[in-house]
Amino acid sequence: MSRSHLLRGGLATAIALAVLVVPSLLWASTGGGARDDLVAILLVHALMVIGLQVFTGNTGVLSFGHVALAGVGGYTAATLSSAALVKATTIPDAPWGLAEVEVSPVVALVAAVALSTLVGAVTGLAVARLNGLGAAIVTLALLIVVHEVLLNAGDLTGGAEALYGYPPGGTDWLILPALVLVAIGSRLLRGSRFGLRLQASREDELAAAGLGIRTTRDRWVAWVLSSAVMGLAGALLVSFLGAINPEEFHLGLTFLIVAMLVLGGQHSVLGGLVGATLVTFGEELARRLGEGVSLFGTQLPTIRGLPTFFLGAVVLLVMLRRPGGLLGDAEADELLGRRLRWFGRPAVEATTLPDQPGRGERLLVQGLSRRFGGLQAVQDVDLDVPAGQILGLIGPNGAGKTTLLNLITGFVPPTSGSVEVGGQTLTGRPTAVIADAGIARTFQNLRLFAGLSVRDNVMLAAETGSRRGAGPARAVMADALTRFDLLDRADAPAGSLSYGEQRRVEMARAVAARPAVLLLDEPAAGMDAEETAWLVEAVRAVRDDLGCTVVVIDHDLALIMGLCERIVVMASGRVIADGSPAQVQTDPGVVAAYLGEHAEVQPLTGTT
Amino acid sequence: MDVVLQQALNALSLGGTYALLALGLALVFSILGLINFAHGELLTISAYSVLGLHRMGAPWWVQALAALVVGPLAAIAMERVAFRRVRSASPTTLLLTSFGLSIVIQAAFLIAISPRPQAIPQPGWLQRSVEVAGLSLQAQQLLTITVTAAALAGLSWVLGRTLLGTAMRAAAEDFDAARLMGVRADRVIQGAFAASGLLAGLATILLLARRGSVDPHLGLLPVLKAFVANVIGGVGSLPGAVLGGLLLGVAETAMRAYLPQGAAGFTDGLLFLGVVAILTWRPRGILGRPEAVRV
Repeated sequence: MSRSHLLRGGLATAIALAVLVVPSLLWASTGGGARDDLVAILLVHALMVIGLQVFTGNTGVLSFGHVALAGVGGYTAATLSSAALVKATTIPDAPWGLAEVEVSPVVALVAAVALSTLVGAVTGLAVARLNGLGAAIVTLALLIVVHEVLLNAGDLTGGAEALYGYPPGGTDWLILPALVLVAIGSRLLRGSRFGLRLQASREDELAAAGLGIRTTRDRWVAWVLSSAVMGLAGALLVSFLGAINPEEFHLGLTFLIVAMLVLGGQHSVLGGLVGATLVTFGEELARRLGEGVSLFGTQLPTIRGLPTFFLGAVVLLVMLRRPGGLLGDAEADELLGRRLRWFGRPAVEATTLPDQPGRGERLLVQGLSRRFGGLQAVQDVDLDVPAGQILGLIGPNGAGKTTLLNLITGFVPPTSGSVEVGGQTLTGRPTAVIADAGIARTFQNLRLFAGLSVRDNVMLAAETGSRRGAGPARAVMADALTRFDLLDRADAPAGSLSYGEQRRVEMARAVAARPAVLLLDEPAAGMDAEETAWLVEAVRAVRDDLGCTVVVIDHDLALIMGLCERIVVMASGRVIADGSPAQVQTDPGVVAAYLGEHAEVQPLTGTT
Repeated sequence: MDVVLQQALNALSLGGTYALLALGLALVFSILGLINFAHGELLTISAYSVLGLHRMGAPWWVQALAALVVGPLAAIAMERVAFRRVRSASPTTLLLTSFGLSIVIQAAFLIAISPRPQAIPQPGWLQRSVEVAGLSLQAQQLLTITVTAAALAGLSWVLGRTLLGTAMRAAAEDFDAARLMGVRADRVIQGAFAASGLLAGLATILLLARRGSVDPHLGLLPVLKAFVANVIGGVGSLPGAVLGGLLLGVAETAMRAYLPQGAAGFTDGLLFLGVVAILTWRPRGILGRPEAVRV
């Protein structure tokens, strides 16, 4: 995403915020204190939703623990800033002389953000490594542990009793500016390269690792950032409430924030704002109804639990009817861009970067083996591919070709043997490290980041290409889209493309990383003869322009014979033949492996 | 020595209940990939139906029987109403669906009955102590241990020896392949839900024997413990769920017995910290298998 386009995203988010907030403020200004309070609480909730979204929206890892981080911020602000006179009765025995301390609310707010960030930095070490249920449990654990500490460390927190005495309205003026800043910041983060990396590992963690993305590290950073926002929101909540108790930061608020996140759309900042608005007003309505209003002269009964029912119903209905939320992934600039071209994303223009031959490296595999239980998938394979060669790897199904690729790229650790690229030993290193060393691959069963646009898919790799001196990342991306004839699909979500197009995106992504060694796993699967002929030219052009070493696995012999300078044949995990296309075609061992022992040798002919 | 043995029996009866719940969660998870937050509400629903029968004056064994019938029915109803529609959705969507369902059911009981706990007096013999080899055992503990053992044996018989059980194991290994082999998806999924509901019904009887009252949030804490048991043991692994449940029982009993007075309030906190430590050591749990890489 270009810088100017990012700015448009920020501006559009500000406009969307104004559209939501200004009517609320007008409404509040005409109706006295209760309405003021509702709008203030709406803004604080919106801040919390965006805080949660920075992590959950971008990483796809659901967190039930964010409210605890807000609790840390809230209690820090309250303990530091509440009137010493009040603290003398509520927490007289507070350690470190905290009972006498009375700092200004702004200083306390800064301290609140600092402490919640610190707690985030520590808890993030565990959270960033987990997915799914593991993450849900650990974040829930955070909520429960913090709640217990707040309840039981009475000397410091006042225990179950409310901790009051915060200077009324101390930092209320900060609520709106904080929300505006955080919302815009979050929109910018979502479109930034860091944001893209997070979303890539949300969509497909393995493919992300294959591009050199360090998922754990990136998730840790996102968790810490969102902790800071939650600490800020917690401190602002205290300023608004004037008093807090541990129940403020427990399951109730967690339900509320999750419902807001889900209703608007988990991924989109605009969705978070819309969700916060709708749920805040909806819950208030449910509360009033539950308190027993009189309607047309009839007094309705009081119904406790109606707001909770409302929240649960919102989550359930959204999941059953529209799991992406009301807005799906759409951001304000994208919606505006449909009407006003200025907000739209400029098209990717055809670009051809200057050739960079000579970036290929020698791939050296020695004695590589891998056993899965009783199955020897790859056995003692030696392979020496000189820089810039196009090598075809063929063999019957189950010969171990894809496993060999997985061993080279670190997706599967080898049982024994070694892998070297350009003299650098890579055996047993993590996939992301191997990717950084200059190996890029495509996947037999497509692993695109389905929810991201084609250009974002390729952009993630183009950053690496740019670091390797290919030019600005945007140009590298445009060059790759041009090579594989994808310019007019640049803004479509990758998952919406046809099978053949998705194969081309896979290759564009791998090439954009400007690898020294390019591994293609069945690139022609599902292609007809014409498309295959096109593919042969495209891959050869990549090698000629960039000089990279290429290893191609395929069953399409037209492709292999037409493209490859040398062919290695595998069967039952071993290399059984290695030579020029002509030599391999007449090798009796190869014929036996494919057709059985007694078949007659009939040379195959390539089409190009 | 006797004290240790006594505590071990306490741990076994507490962990047994967790294991029943964790097993139900794991059964459904292994087939659908669904982490069912609303599993706890199966307990709540069964417990309220027990309350209804108690108020009508039904004897204890009828109440218990009702829990065993209502549990599976409620589980099947959940599948029909909610989970069937999101069967092929992402894990996050599944998790949030069950989360929403759980809140709705809790709130519905809160609105329809009362937020306050309703007493369900338990028969006196459940609280009576039995002397076995010098150890004093409450009848309800003995019941818990027996019922858990019987349920585990029954479940492994169903899974190992019946056609439906084989189909369920096949679906847990590879759902798509099982369907191609002619396993009927709806039947297997409903079978899994019914089994998890039956285990929840059993757990309800045992839980009520201990606490003797029901409130809208009855299921919340037990299901959280069952989640923890699953995570410790390895999500989706049936032996892992049992192991995790028992470990949790041991940890809780030990902490209750040996933690100093001042730290008693931090039991749940310490428990969860332990879980975090285990997950940091083994992100997939003790018996969890690393996810098969298919690239």
